[in-house]
Amino acid sequence: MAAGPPFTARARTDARDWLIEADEPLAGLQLRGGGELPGIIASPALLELVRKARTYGLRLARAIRAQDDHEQVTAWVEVMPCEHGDGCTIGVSNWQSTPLPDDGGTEATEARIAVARHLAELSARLGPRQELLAVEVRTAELEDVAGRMREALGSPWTEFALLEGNAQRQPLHWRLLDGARLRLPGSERHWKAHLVPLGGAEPGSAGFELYLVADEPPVDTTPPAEADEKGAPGMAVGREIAPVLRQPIARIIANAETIRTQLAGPLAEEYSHYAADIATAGEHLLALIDDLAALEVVEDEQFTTAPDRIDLADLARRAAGILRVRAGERGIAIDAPKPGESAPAIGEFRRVLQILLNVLGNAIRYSPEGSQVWLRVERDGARSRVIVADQGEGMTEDQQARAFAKFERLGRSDSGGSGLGLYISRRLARAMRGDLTVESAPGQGARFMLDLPADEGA
Amino acid sequence: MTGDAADSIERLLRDELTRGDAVIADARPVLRYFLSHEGHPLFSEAMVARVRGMMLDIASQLLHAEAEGGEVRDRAAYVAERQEDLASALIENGSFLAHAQALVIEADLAERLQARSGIDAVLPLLLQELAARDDEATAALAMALLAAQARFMQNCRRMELPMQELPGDLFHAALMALRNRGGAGIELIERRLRASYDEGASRLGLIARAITGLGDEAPDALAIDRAGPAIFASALAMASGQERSSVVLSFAEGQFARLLLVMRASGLEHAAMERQLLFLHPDHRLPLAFDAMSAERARALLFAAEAERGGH
Repeated sequence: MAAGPPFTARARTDARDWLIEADEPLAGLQLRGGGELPGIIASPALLELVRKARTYGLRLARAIRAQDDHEQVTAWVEVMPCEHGDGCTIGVSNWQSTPLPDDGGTEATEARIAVARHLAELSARLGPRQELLAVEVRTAELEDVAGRMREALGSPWTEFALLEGNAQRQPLHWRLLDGARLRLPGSERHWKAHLVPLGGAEPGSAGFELYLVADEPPVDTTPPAEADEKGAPGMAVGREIAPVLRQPIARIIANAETIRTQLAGPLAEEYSHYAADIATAGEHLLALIDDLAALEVVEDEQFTTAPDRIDLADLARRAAGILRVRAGERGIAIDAPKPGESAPAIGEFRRVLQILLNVLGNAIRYSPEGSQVWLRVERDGARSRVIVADQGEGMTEDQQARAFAKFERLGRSDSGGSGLGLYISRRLARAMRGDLTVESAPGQGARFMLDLPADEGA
Repeated sequence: MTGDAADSIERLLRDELTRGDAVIADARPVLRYFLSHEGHPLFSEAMVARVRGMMLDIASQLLHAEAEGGEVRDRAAYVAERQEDLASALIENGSFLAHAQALVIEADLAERLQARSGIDAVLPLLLQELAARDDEATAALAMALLAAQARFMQNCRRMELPMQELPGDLFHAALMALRNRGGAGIELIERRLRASYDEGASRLGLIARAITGLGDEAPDALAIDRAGPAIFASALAMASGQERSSVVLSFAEGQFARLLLVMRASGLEHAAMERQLLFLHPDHRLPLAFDAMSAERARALLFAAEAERGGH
């Protein structure tokens, strides 16, 4: 038997898998990885190893890879559980650190993010304190939890998930949550969180994208078709057709992506381009289904909105925050209301955000590159108003009249939208006792105005 | 015979028939699979026999430990009676199966490389160099690894898989399988077995430790002719972030794409990859178009494929 290696560093953990004491260089890695000392082990690979050794009561030894902001570390780690199961001792040897290759690291991160985006069944946009701003789900299984999240926009997302092996509820440092395993109410499956920090200088200063990816494939829970007296014939896209269509289309996109990336084998370039077209068309089809489902909701006679007390200036800033990256890709600057400005109104928070995202999204999509989009708020007696003004081509009287009609695309043939967005947005605005209107002239850009009842009490 | 009795017999017979049909229906695709893949090394009779042998061996070790603790007089009979059942329970565990299968493929490849290319299955060049070092700790590690590697080749030929050689997760799973049988005094036996286990002393542990200590010679571990298949597989797994068993599986026939991706994800360049293929698949060429694939992209594709399979 070989004698044990001479350890270069030792450490001790407790029954919660917190690092209680640690020699350098392990201590430094813990702190640079966003952890504390004492505190829960920051490196996911080390945490998993220690947790296993403790729960199995086995002496484990493995090569560990860990990474912080600027270096990649490999080390040989031996973990010995204490006799009474209340912690472990760690011995580290063969510590080797290499600086992260700049481009390689970024590319690896991007690839990881791309995969998470592709597979996520719940995605959400978070603010800088990891508070929920918008939530999207792809599985019926998660509709419940998503519904609760949407009702509690502004609360930390961690309130809606059970982090495995962690009793803390308050948001941890995002590095600790990135890659964390968790359970979701209403789902039997095991989930993993991916957090993508936004904001240049300090990651996370502009919020996060959250993606939840399941370990197991979704259970097939196509609900049995129910006779529904309320729904008129031919009006069941959202409830019945959308869930069924989504899966095969997602598969078409995934397969097209596989072909495009030549995973299945080398391919002539033109075929790879065709595959890219198929994927794009598929994405468009998915968006169309979402729109049709939304259309069905707003056209339902029973459709009502919640009278939240909202601030249009705050919502405009949130919408700007969410779309800033997309605008940046086209060199478009968004000028949102200044912090401190406010326009209290009565309307449903998420519906107003939906309208603003739609109108602002259009402005970004159809404005010339390098132009500017303004978001302004006004209060006029009993009405509060938010204005989205762009420097696009503008619209004739006739086009303005048609812009809010169903399936109207104003002669555009790109694959940008379904022609339902403005129609749905106006329906939503009117359901909230407000309105969505436009003022424009050719060559003058367009001003979309969302009016809502002012919050007189504010 | 009353009408009721006749009814119940009929019902019994019907149920039996249904059950019989289900067995036949289950068996047919399996049989078809074996027939259509005859000669495929992943499904060869030798593969099936050796994996099965290893499972029976682990079951027997577990039961021997149990019999010892329970002061059973006729241990051989005790083990023989229960061995099949416990082995079946282990086979149910996919990770167990994957591990055993990977070991068989690895041993097979080691034998073939030794015969075909003169790569020593037990003492490859890299290990010779480590053993000859002045640094005592490294030399001792190399000698321990040499012994472990020799034991491994011998074990595979005998269709044995000592429990101490299992990775920690599988060792734990094996003990859980034993516990689920609900034998007497199992807690004490389990505690004794757990205390005796040391992952770092297992063959795979020694290999991983040796690789992390290589320093300047680290690239040697990614050259199969210098490192031998055992160290090569571990080094690929560590560099690509893949499970070792799925790396070993990529050496098998019909897994060419996975092998290419694993090698690229480990950072091997064109020339190095071609050199490995010379030993692993002398009849295959490296596709030129593959050069455009970055290590990160290869890693992402492997990761995505793993997620598609449902993770682990």
